[in-house]
Amino acid sequence: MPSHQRELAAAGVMMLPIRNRGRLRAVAGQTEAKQVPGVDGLVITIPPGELLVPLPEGDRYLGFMFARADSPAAVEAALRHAHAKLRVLTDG
Amino acid sequence: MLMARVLLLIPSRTYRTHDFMTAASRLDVEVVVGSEHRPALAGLMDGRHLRLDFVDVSGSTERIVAFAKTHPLDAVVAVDDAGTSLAAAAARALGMPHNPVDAVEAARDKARMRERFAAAGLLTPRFRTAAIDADPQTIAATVAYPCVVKPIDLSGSQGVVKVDDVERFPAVFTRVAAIVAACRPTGVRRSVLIEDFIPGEEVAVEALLRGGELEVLAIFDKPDPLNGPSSRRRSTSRPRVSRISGRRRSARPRLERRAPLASPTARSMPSSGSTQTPSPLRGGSGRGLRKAFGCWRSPRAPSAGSARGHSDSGPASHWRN
Repeated sequence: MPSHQRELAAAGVMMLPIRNRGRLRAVAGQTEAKQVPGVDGLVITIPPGELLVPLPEGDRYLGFMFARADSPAAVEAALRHAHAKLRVLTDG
Repeated sequence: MLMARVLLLIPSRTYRTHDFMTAASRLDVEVVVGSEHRPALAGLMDGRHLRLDFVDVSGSTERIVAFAKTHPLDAVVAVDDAGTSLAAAAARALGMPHNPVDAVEAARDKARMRERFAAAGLLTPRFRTAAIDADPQTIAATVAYPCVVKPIDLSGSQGVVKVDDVERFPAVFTRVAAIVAACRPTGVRRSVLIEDFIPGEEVAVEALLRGGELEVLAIFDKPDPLNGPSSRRRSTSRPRVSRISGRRRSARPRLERRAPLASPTARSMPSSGSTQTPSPLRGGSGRGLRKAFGCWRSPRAPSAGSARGHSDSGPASHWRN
């Protein structure tokens, strides 16, 4: 197996937290989040209809968001900005 | 040329299947799915699916060995924590490269991992275990604060709670004990780990271990450390942002400070007993290497760093605790 070269740019990932218990209906704002400069990936790993359980009882994140930028600080800012655009819609 | 065939052990609740399947497709590898449940399309997956009980390592190993007689396997890979013991046992039975099963089991047990780190001379926080039905009031008086209460073998921060003072300890202990009981209704590890909280900057090291050689893939900065008095909201629902320090000029000082982290991480490997990982392993750490792979104290040379385990979410590995 070849060696792996680390990227030169700064990159980051946000583990999207589950804040409230409820059955997931949808995660709105994904398009807007992906349009934030630097954000290059967003995946919601819990399908609609499944129960969301916050930590510490919960065992999953809502999903993951990725970003790349010129500096670690810019990456972090992009992730936080994009995260603020997401709205988790639940039933119950 | 014959296509390589890999058995992927896929827990029903994992979210990592897609990435592994994509990688297999890219590498032109045939995948056999080993899972706890019969997939809806199992009838169309002859020779491509194997139903397995990940907890029954002995019985499932026998099933894999029997399967391999008609469908030779080149590797057994767990995509999540739940399958790592079975992957190691099956690989051993099939004569494939594997980590010692004992090392894999120790890597999933936070108490055993800390004992091994301590025995190897690596810095580790003070810790103890307690049965989930122990009297929390009694334990509370014996603990230093702040501390962290966590399950022995869960991951993804499940059940991990920081406790700032003796008054709050009984309620937290009871809550974490309930989480452990719910996850292990007939469990064998019905206890929790209680360890000192060490404040500081937090990082995580992602790496591959191959033949005992550690190859660092990424070193993450983790903003929002849980230093100081913790509110419930901060400790249970904070976004977890990890960022990789790049090599551009603006990030270089931080990256250079991180360079010594690889050494204690590598030193932790022999103490765990692991020799390789099928996918990136991960460990977090506090200021220097304190939270996960070890307790790094700046005045010391890199080789004097130390390690201790910490469970975190991440790819399956045979070394992660």
